[in-house]
Amino acid sequence: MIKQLHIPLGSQHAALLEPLRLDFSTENERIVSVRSDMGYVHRGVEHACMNRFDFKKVPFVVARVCGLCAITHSTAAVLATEQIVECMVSERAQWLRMLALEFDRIHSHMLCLAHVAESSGYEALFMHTMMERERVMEAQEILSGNRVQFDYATLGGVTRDMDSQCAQALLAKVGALKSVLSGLRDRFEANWSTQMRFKGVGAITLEEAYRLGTVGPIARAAGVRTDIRIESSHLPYRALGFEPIVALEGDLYARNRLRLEEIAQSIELIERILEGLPEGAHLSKVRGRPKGEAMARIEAPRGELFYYVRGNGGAIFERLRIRTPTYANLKAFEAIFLGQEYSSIPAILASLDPCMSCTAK
Amino acid sequence: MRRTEITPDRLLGEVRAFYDPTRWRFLTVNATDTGAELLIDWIFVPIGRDEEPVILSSCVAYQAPLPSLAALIPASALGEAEMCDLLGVAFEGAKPGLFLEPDAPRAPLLKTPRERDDD
Repeated sequence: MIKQLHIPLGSQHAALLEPLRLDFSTENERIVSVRSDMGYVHRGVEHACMNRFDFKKVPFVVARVCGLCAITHSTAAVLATEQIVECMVSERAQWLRMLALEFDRIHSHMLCLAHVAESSGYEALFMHTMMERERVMEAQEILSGNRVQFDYATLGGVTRDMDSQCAQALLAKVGALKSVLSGLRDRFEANWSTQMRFKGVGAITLEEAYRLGTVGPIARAAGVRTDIRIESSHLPYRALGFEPIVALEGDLYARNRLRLEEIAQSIELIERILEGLPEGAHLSKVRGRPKGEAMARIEAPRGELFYYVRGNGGAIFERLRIRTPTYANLKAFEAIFLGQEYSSIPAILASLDPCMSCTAK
Repeated sequence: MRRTEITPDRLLGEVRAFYDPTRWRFLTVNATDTGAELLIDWIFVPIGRDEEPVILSSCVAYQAPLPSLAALIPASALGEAEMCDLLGVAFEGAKPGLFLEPDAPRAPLLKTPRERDDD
């Protein structure tokens, strides 16, 4: 006999890292329908940037949209704004921005992997991953002076330059991370119990990934060759020989593997940046006030982050619009949950790496 | 930013004519209060290629009814709900409440925010 249950999860729940409400309907233990609701942490960031803050302060304001991906927000905001003010950003500054973004990607992916391990009952792997992630947090502090909210990207460049001593320290940090990465990969990929837990679970097909407009690691793990690092020329990733990594299976296991491969790839990109960092000023003067409109897209750890700015020559933006990656992926979340066992929800949700703080902004 | 201006009644036809989800991703729908009317942009970006986005645009009166793309592009529903919430754009089927509580200011991103009906 089929037993039907209606199970609300969230908006506050021990298995959820962020405020999101999911209403599941199950037949026995299998999910037959799901409805999501978000917006519990709306803070009116766009409204504040359109009414209260001078455009030069906006990159620092939008960095507060999210603690985890602060640098992606401030970088996208400056890339959009620099198109409508008088400003010549040096190549060095652009490379330093890429450096900060790649460190951000590594620590964000490691946090996601740690939470997947924790949600799957593998607490030792959670602690191990978080311990190794500390190396990246320390590297961010060396680069910017702070571990999390580092306000590194600013209009005209970056707030701090880097000397050879700093570059050597960063190379040592990523070198140490590289040496432990294969051990981590082994635990996530080759361990018998994690394979049992992750393979074939929470999958999305290539067709669904396209139809639902998914972005970031969720899309790439399902076979969609999409990455803003090749789709936009705002940052010179082509000079680093970047090519996106794509998997095929679309399941939780593929998402883990893809993130681990992207961590290795980001380490390589960081090494190339540090070895080939162009000479020049790290910060240029910005003249004038924003007039006109521009958009910028960058590849945040969770996927495509979009900023639109519009100025009328005044000090305050007429319009600022933020579209975050989780926002783009919410429809896919619902599709991924369908047909899954209810007990797999925490691990699947962690592997989708939702950031509701960004999404509700 | 290069825009293709359309009238709202042509939106679905225009999108059907070029939209292939394996080549284009619907990025978002955006609304801007120009002071006299609303500028609506439906933005599509190429997948895996560094090419210009396709931006379909329409200038409409405040609260003019607009068609929804949700039947064609499921991901558009969220953007339409957000624009309904924050700028009062009257997309078909969209209701306020995605971000704002029932007692919050109505359409706060309009240059002249609307009075609440119950004020």
